[in-house]
Amino acid sequence: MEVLEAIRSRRSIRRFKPDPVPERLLLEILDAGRWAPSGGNIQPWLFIVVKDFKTLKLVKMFSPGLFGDPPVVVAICSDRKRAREVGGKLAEEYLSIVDCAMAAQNMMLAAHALGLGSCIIKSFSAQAIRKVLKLPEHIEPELLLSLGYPDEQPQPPPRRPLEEITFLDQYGEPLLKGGGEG
Amino acid sequence: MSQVNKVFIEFIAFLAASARNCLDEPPLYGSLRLADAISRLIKLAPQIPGYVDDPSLKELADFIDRGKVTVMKSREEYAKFLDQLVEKTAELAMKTSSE
Repeated sequence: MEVLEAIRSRRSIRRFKPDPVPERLLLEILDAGRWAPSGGNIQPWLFIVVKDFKTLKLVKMFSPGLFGDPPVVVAICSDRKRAREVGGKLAEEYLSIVDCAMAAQNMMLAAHALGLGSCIIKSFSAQAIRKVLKLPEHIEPELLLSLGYPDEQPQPPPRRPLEEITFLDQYGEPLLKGGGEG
Repeated sequence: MSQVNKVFIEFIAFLAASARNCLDEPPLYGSLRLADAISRLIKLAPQIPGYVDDPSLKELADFIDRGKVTVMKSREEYAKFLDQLVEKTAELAMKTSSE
């Protein structure tokens, strides 16, 4: 699948088939996350793959934003200690979060290209997830990524038109003089 | 621990996490969590001893699961979904009270 096609056709999937995700595909997705860019190449991310039924159930209990019953959830975590030691305050408080977001996007596109569905989730109790996954103090759960074979084909949600979000050279100067792609 | 207790704890966990997260999430998500709670409760119900299977409740949960995502599209569409949810629930309640 072409990258642009993957970007445009990916959807957030909230209904999954119960079929398990093959190990080979899972590893490809995790590897795509590993190849994301990161500030100062700190690579602060850690990916905790949750497949065990009981642990999945606990994760779901404390994640109001996790819809459906995905057979796999990946907890995308940042190592704040590593970020601080290598990149200082900026990396610890800010870059580690955006780096994890970039890894998440890579993983979602990879999943889509491999025929799997995914959804990124921030609506979870970090305190509870920390306990369930036995995370040490310096490991922060940033995002959850649900993974599985999609059981729905959602319509694309509306997108703000390019005219509304792009400018040329300075704020307020339109890049597109009308007729741009919506 | 009894099966009923396990079900209660599963539901309580969802409510506790939602209560905390709602402080920091978009205001509409409070409503979303309540609607989703109905669906989750319906799905948990068969695990409670003595519960009698009810296809109309399953349909209601399915309706919620399909409709709740409209919260991310527009307030109007989401409100329309909630209006239909209340209507469906009222029909169920009336049917139950007449039995």
